[in-house]
Order: sequence, then C-alpha cells, then structure tokens
Amino acid sequence: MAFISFIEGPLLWFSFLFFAAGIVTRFIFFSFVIIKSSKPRNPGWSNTLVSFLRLFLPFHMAVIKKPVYAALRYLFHICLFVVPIWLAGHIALWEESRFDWTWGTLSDEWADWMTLLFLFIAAYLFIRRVILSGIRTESKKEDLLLIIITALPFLTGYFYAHGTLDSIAFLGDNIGTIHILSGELMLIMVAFLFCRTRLNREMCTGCAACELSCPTGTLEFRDEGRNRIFSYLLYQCISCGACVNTCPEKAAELRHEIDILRLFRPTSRETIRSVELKECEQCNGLYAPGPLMRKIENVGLKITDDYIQFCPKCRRSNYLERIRVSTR
Amino acid sequence: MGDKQFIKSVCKACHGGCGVIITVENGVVTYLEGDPESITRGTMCAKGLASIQHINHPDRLKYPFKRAGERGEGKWERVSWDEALETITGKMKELIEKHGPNAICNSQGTGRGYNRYTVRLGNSIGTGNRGIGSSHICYFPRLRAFEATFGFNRLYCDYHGWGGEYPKTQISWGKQIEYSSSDGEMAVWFFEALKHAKNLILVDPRATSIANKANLWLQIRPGTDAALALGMMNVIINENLHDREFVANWTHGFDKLKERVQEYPPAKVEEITWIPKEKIVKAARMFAIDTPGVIQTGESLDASNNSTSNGRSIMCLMAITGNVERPGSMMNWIHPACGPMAAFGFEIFDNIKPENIEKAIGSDKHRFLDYGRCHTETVLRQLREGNCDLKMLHQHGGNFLFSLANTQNVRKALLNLEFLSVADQFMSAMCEIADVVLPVAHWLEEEDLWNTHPGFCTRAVNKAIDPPGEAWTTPKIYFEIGRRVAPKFWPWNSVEEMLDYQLRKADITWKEFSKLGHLSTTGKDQKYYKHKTDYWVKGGGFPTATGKVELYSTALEKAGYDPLPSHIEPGESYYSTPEVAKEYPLLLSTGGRIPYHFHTQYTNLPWIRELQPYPLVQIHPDTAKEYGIEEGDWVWIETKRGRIRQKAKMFSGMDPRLVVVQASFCYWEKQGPERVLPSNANVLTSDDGPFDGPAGSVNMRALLCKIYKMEEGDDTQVSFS
Amino acid sequence: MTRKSVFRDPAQCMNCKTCIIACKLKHMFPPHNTTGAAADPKGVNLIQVYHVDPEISGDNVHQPFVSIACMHCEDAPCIKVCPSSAILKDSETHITLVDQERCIGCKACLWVCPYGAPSFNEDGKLVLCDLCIDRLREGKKTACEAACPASAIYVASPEEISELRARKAVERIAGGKME
Ligand code: SF4
Ligand code: SF4
Ligand code: SF4
Ligand code: SF4
Ligand code: SF4
Ligand code: SF4
Repeated sequence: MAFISFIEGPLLWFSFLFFAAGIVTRFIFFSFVIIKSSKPRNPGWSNTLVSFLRLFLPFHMAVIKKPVYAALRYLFHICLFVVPIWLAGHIALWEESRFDWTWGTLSDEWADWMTLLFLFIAAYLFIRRVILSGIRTESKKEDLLLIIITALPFLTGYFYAHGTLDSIAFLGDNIGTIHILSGELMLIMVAFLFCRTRLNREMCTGCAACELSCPTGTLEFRDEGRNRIFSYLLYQCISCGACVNTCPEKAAELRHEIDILRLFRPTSRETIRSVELKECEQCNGLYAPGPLMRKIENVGLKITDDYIQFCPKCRRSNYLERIRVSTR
Repeated sequence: MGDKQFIKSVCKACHGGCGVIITVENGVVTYLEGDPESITRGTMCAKGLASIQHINHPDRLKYPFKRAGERGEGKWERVSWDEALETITGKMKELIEKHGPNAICNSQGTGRGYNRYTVRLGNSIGTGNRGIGSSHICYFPRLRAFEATFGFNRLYCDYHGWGGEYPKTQISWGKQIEYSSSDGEMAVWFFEALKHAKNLILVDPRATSIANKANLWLQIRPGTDAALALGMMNVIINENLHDREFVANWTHGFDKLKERVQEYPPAKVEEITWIPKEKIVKAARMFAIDTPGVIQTGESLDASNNSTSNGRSIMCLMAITGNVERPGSMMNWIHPACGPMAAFGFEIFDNIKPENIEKAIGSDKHRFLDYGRCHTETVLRQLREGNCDLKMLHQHGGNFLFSLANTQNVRKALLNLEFLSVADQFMSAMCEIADVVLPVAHWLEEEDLWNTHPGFCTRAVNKAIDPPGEAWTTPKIYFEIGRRVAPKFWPWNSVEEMLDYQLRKADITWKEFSKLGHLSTTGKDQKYYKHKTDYWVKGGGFPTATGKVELYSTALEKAGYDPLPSHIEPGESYYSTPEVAKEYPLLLSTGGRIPYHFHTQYTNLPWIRELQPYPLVQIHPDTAKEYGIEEGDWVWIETKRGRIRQKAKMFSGMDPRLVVVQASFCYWEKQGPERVLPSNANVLTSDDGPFDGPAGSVNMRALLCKIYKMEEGDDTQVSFS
Repeated sequence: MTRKSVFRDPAQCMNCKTCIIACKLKHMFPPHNTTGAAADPKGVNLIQVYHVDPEISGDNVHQPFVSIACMHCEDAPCIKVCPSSAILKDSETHITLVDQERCIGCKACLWVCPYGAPSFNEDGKLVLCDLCIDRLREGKKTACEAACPASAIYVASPEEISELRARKAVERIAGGKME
C-alpha cells in the first residue's frame, strides 16, 4: 500500500529530520539569547550552568513542595523516554534499517507495565488539568492537546502490540499505521514544545521573589501604572526551576507548552501576569502588590494595625510626626 | 586571623584629631574605631570612619607627574621623585637668583597638622610672600584679633571642668561645632559641657541642629556679627553688668569702648541684624549674669569684610564679662613639655629679611594678614594683570578653585603663574593646571606629630599601612624639598630625626613617643588665672603693649586702623548696594556645610556620596513657593558674577529672604570645567572687595542673589572664561 | 547576655550621620573601590537619619532629628509574615536576626514593618540592624553607639531603656531644655 509506505518511509524520515532541525534551531536561538541576556545581577556563567543541569536532577525543592505531583512527573518522563527507545519492536526496526543499529532491549513485560503506568499518569494529568480550577484557568486548549498527542503513540502502540482492538475492523487493520502516524506527530510537535514558567493567578501574590531568583533574567517585572507586570522571555528560560523553588506560594510552575509562533521569535517578551498595586491610604502612592497585602492582612497574621494601609514612606513620616509631637 | 594588629593613631580627616584604633590585618586596614581612652572618648565622625574608602580609592595619585602638554591640557608624564623634586627646587633656586625669594610662595590647604612644615619651608627660603590661600577668610582674622586684644593668639572654650567649673552660659556664634571640630574644640567636649550648662545661646542665621538645645536663638542677618556683639555690650555696660573687677584691673580702653557701644543701642542693632531687641537684651543679660561663659566662634565671622571687628567685638564681650582665664570660661592652655608644635615653623622667622616682609604683596594695605602672608586677592589680581612679583607657587593640599572667591578669576590667575607645583592625594582641579604633581600619603599611611588644636595635647600619628605606589608622607615631602633649597634649616638625615628634633624639649625620641601616644597637660596640670602670675608678663598681666587686655587696641591704632570694633555693612547687601538688590533680591550665604564633607574632600567616597549625591541649596518654603520651586528641583542661583545649580532643600529654620548654598561641591567623576563650575559656590562670590582693613578678608557669607528653577535641558555646558 | 533594646534619642541627635558610616564600616557594606560617582551602585544603609522641619515658637526651636533603624520589636510583625522563616529572634538577646540564606527577597517584611526599617542588599536579600551582636558579645558597644558624638544612641536592657525614656520624658515636661 502506497500510503503506508509513505508513512513508514519519507514521512518518518521527514519527522526525524524535522525533529533534529527543530532541536538545532532552538539550540542556536537559545544560545544566542542566553549569551546576550542582560541580567543586572548576573550570577555568573558557572552558576547558570549549574542551574541548568539541575533540571536533570529529580531531587530539588519542587519535590518537597508537591511530592506526589513531582514523583508522578518524573515517572512520566522516564517512561516517555525509556519505552520508545528500548522497546524491542523499535530496535528491531533500527536493525533492519540501512543503519543497522542495535542496542539492548527492554523486556516486554517491563515495557508493558511502563506503558500502562505512563498512560495512567497521562490520564491523571489530563483529568487534573480539566478539573482543578486553578490549573484550568491557566491552561489553554493546546495544553490538553499536548497530553493527548504525547499519550497517543503509547496507547496505540499498546493496542498494536497486544492486538486489543483487532476486533474492530478498521482499527484492527490500521492500528500500526495510526501508531506510526501518532509517533511522527509527536516528533514534529517536540520542535514546538517549550518548557515554560507560569505564575498561578490564584496563588501568586506578586511578591516577585521568583524574579529575584531567576538566574537568567527570564522573568522580569516592572511596576507600571497601577500594576506590577511580570514578563517572560521564552528562549531565555533554562528550566532550572529556581522560580519554582523560590515561590513561597507554590504559585510558580514549570509546564510544557506548544508554541508555534514563538519558535521564530527568540527575543520577544510576553506578559504573563499582572498584579494590581496597593494604594497608600495617606499619600495615594502605590507601593506593595495588592494580593500580598491582602494575604498579610487576612491569613491569620493578626496584623491589622492601621499603619499597614500606609506606604513605608508615610509610615516613616507618621512616625516622625509622632516623635515631633511627643518630644515637643 | 594570622596577623591582626591594633594601632593607635589620630584621625586627620578634618583638623580634628579624634583618637582612633586602626585594625590592620595582613597589611590591610580592616576597621577603624574611636579610641575610648583618647581625649575624644571613642567618638568619631562620618569623615574619619570613611577613611577606609579613602585609602583604597581607585583615583588616588600614586606617582609624581610632570606636565607633558599645555597647562591644564591633561597630558602627563610619570617621573621619578628625584626629577620632580629637582624640577621644583631647581625652579625655586632659579627664581631666587633672578627675582629674590619673594618670587616664591609656598602654601597649603586646610590645616591638617602640617602647617608648621609649610611655614618652615617658607621661612627657610626667606620669602616674604609666605603663602596665599584662604587663611584670610578662615581662622586667621580671629587669631590676629585675639593677638591684637590679648597679646597671644587664642583663647579656647573651657569645656573640661579642670578648674572645678563648667561654663554656665555657652554661646555658639556662627559655628556648627556639633559637626565640625576644626579650628578648636571637639564636638564631644561641647556636648559633655552642655550637660552642665544653664544657657545655650545660638547666633546663626539658620536654626542649626543645636537650636533644639538652645534656649535662645539669635537669628542674625549674615555679616552683621560685630553689630550684635556691640549691641550686647551696650546692654551690659549700660546696665552695669560687666565684671567690674576684671575691667578695672586687666583691661585697657574701657571708657573708649563704652563710648563706642553707645552708637549701638539695641533698637539700632535690631535694624542692622534683624534680631528683635528684646532677644539682644536677653542674651546680653544671660551672658553677663550667668557666668562663667564661653563663646564658640566659627569661620563665618572671618569670611566678611568686617572680619577683624567681628572677632574683636566678640573678644571684648568676653573680656568685659570677665570670661578670661577663669575656670569654665575662655582659656589659653598650657602646652605639654614638647612645646607648641607650631614653633617648628616660626623659630626661623628671622631668616626672612625685613625688607622682604615689607614687600609682601598687599601687606601695605592689610597689616594684619596671617603671619607674613601676602594678600591673596591682590596677588591673584596682579597675576591676572601680569605684573606680579610672585612667580611660583608650591601648594600642598587645598584647592583654590573651590576655596577662593570667584573661581573663574582664580583659575585665570593661577594659569599666569610661571610655575605651579601641587602635592595632593587626588588629581584635583588645581593639580590639573599644575606643572608638577606630587602624590601624598593619607594619615593612615604616615608618621607625624599632631598638636590638638587647643594645644594641651600633642599626639602621635602612627602609620598603619604603606602609602600606595610611590606616594610620600607630608613630612617627607617637605623635608626633601627643604633640604634641597635650604639645607641649613633642614639639617637632618631622615624624617625620623626631624620628628625627634621637634620633640627635643620633652626629651623623648619619636620612637618612644610613638609608643607613648601622647603628651598632655590636662586636669591639674593646667593653670587658671595665668594673668595674675608671671606666666606672660612678670608681675602679672597680658603680653600686649599695655600689659592689659586691649579693648582699645594700640596695635591696630599704630597700624592706622580703627582701634575699636565697629559695624561695617557687608560689601553687597540691601543697605550698602540697594541698586544691586533690585535685580538680585535674595540674600545669599555660601556657608552651607555638610557634616560628612570637608570642602570638596570625601565627596568622592562611595559611602559618602551615597548619603547625598548632589549639592543642596536651602530655601525657605515660602520663598520656594513664590518662585515655583519644589523640594528636589534643580535650581539656578545667580549673582553678578555667575550662576550655579544645586538641588532645592526646603528649610523653614531661617529668614525667608535667605538662601544658603552648599559650599564646595565637586563633581569628581567629571573632567575640566564640568568638575569645577556647575555647583561651586565660589563661582558666585566676589573677589573685588571691599576688604577688611587689617585682615584683608573678603565678604563671602552675605551676598545678593536671585534664584530660579532650572528648566529641563537648561544644564548648559559650562566653560572656563 | 541579657535582652537588649535600643533607643535613639531624637532630642540628642544632630544629624551628623556618623552612625550610618560607622554601621557601613562595621559591616563593610559595598560599594568599594569605586570612584564615588553619583551613578555608582547604592549600598546598604541600615540607619536613616531624618530631619523634621523646625517649629519655632518664641525662643523655642523644635526640630528633632530622628534616626531610624530596626527597633527589634518585641512582637515583631516581620517575623510573622516572613514566608521562608528567614527572620528570627536571638534566644538570648531578643535581637531580630536575618538568615540571608533563607531569605527569598519577597519584601513582605518591608511591607509590614511599622518603621520601614528593612533594607535589601544587591542580591535582594534582607539586611537588618543586628545590633552588632558580635560586638555586644565581646562586651563592646555597638558600632553606632560608640561612634555617636552626641550620645544619642543607647543599647541596653529593655528595663533600662524604658527607664531612660521615662527620665527623658520627665526632663522634657519639666520644661528644662537647659534651665
Ligand atoms: S514568587 Fe510566587 S507569589 Fe511571588 S510573584 Fe513569583 S509566583 Fe507570585
Ligand atoms: S524562569 Fe524560572 S525556570 Fe526559567 S530560568 Fe528563570 S528561574 Fe529558571
Ligand atoms: S551619630 Fe548620633 S548624632 Fe549623629 S546622626 Fe547618628 S544618632 Fe544622630
Ligand atoms: S524589621 Fe521592623 S518589624 Fe521587624 S523587628 Fe525590625 S523594626 Fe520591628
Ligand atoms: S524578604 Fe526575606 S526576610 Fe523579608 S519576608 Fe521575604 S523572605 Fe522573609
Ligand atoms: S547596632 Fe550595629 S548593625 Fe545596628 S545600626 Fe548600629 S552599627 Fe548598624
């Protein structure tokens, strides 16, 4: 069949090449942006590199902050890489190919269990994203698509290997093709897949500690008008997780996202969050981020004194005034 | 910590002299702190503590330089010390040969305990023109007035209670002793004595920080101090409150003074000084009744065209109230065994030929200049006109472009010098126009003797670290120049021998003294009522021509000046120049000082600059409103001479007509005119007289100006005219 | 060591800013080795000295100079709000101390301090007056107290301080500036 040979032949090669070209382009853009990144408090290259490598170490603060979620995430990613690469069936294909490559294989039993685990976690993430309102508001439709596209090759592969759906005529005949197609789709998608920081709208207080901890200057904020505006430069992010670790509100999150447009706009910043600033009740000047002040007032801290409503400058001048009167 | 040393020394960040303990670790100064055992009880000021940034400053001069291009072009060639000194001394010798010693002048900046070297160098060369600079507008008019009145040159406030009594009434006259311990007592003594005082009277146009503690603030119009003192004497004498015993036995010319003060009844003084007459009367009674009392005087009295009278009238006030040599009053302290350090300079005064002294420029008009100096403004004018006998200036420290009136003219004059050499720690604006520049060590890097201003204590400045590069200490530079031009008077083989020589009277070597730390005559060692002993004059009395305190000064009379103090209107004022006041309606004082600056010094230290990045002009809020100026605005201040810009600071503790600019703000980070001119108060002052008769002082504290807000982009380039 | 409290006397202070430099020197706050140009990076000031515009009534001039640094509040709000427990009380002296390793620079402490005392270093971490606790332990005065020429700073036990404050207040009410 011509269609199947197209899918197994040129399209597969195209997907691999696209995948490789995407990675290379991204790396070039990334290097370019990182090298000319202008963080005023540059922590130094070695520091930045260490932060970058931390990405691969599972045991950082995020684990402590959300242990279950973090563990699942790591398992998910392990399966994502291990199963397709070490699956006996895939390796057989490589052996047959003109490269004649081969490497150790994963036992079928392990492959099965890992695939099931992977699918299970994917389902969990999918449902979590749909159900948990905090995340839902932050999620775009593409985010759900992302999970589906990632899970599809595994699902179809599992069916293909076990013949589960053979009873359904169309699927029974074409499950192999679908599996390959979905794999190719995933490969192509990777070129557009970014790992990026989100600030959870409900939890984030706008304190900007994340900005301070970011080693690359990816996250930035400026107080503009009545708001504090956080902006983000996709290509500059090294996914180090410093912001996630720092955020006292567990509001910063690193998440995947498909972004076709931004692939070709390495230097454009996007606004990711805007927090209103609190107005001083005395001088009407803006000072602290509103949500932070509300939290300070509300969350059982028992700091309800009036002075909280004034900016530090006015607090100081009130204090001076008190001294002036009391020492008169 | 391998090697941690604690070195005791004396801070010379101002004239001051706070005891300091320097922590040195592995050859690096790591900490400074006041020495609790010293006479200043461990207190220090911001300037002294920031010295740690001074010694490590990246812009320090490290090597001698010789000019490579034109004067002021900024091209330099590094030379060896030998070559630099040979150039300077060679020039000196050549000029002595050609024009005689009066062609040479060596001068200095503020007195950081090295005045005696400058004086000795001048004396050893034999020049009658022993110095130009700002001495005639700072301190020396008062010194000469003391001499004209008491016969010796200074009385200090007795804050110490060594005689069993503390001052009951204190007057702080035109001085912020709380900030500046220059030229006299230390702030900490003042504060301690204040605890024992009943009255504190503040005489100042502004409510300075001690106005809080004062129970009487005489808000004087700048430049009218003599009138106030005369008015107070009027009250005291007419109400018979003066110390009749002292006046009868120890003063000369009381009757004539009594006659003179009749010209200054409180009502008239109110008109002159703008102080309500009730306050004048109250202050006079306070001072005369609650004795003993002291008067702390400041530099603003000297920067006036009536400086001698300002000083003399205040001294007469001390004398008629008997506040002389009495415990808790004004004292002349006994020096420790090593004698006054200044003697090192004056002991060879006779080396100057009398005819050279007679020829000192400007001394024909002004007979009471700082001992044998010439009159700065006259010299500078002659230089500009190109007919000056003075050809060469060797300057150690100081910066005339900031300290002397009318900066543009000063620079022009200095450029007309045949030769100018400057020793400094930084490439100052004056160094920039020099022929040779010498690098000087900081006080943390030098060994020297230091005389506490009031003289009762001589202390060791001990070295903590080595100077950077090839910088030399001040004594060494003078010694090396001295022995090249006048070896007869600089006969020692090393600086240490020279220090030993200065200590010879105490029979102690520098090495021993350095360990000992100080020689003092405090407590019971001090004698009060010295005029009743043979201390000055056998049989008692004061070392004047009449043997008494000369309220009527015979010395001034002999020189042809008014022997009694009087009020002379400032050269520029609403009353003396009403036509100028039409265009320049505000009263300007250039006396604004910042406690953590010393003139332009220290404004280039990061810690200090951070406290106040830009110069501030104090404006009364009402006036500011009238001119549409708000706190923090850049403001142009303009006089007939030029204009400068400073940032507005509202201050309601002064007369609304008064504007007080910050003196000497230097933009160290800039070059050329941009460094000197934009905010320098002396761009505004006049070098054109009138001058004080005896002392030649020029009026810098009472001028007329106008102010206006600086428009966006109006910070036009400035240039030297 | 006993508990410590601090009193900065506005009636004595005269705005000389010695305490600020003494504090910078004690802690060797940057910047160093720069030329001191206006554009140089700003360092850390733990103390601020403010001038209250004079009030003049008769012969009386009232213009307190107020130096403000951390007051080491008894029931410190900054400690309550710090999300990363970076501020703590020294158990012995009750001095408010900062663990800079833990501070994340969220500035919550600044927004609740009644005096606006918190300052932040160039890494955005909180720096507070630590009452020179190392010097106190050595039996020395704090750097600022030792350097203040006007004896306007007192560090002592809370009892002594409140006694001192009361005495000062009485002196003031007795109307006796000098009289
Ligand atoms: S640290 Fe957390 S709470 Fe603070 S601004 Fe960043 S995301 Fe928001
Ligand atoms: S945004 Fe967050 S993950 Fe990205 S570089 Fe900055 S700190 Fe690291
Ligand atoms: S050192 Fe003392 S007098 Fe000076 S500003 Fe500080 S507290 Fe005030
Ligand atoms: S930082 Fe502010 S709130 Fe915290 S102890 Fe100090 S003064 Fe009190
Ligand atoms: S800035 Fe640091 S010390 Fe202050 S509240 Fe935030 S984490 Fe705590
Ligand atoms: S006590 Fe120490 S840390 Fe606190 S302000 Fe004074 S010098 Fe600075």
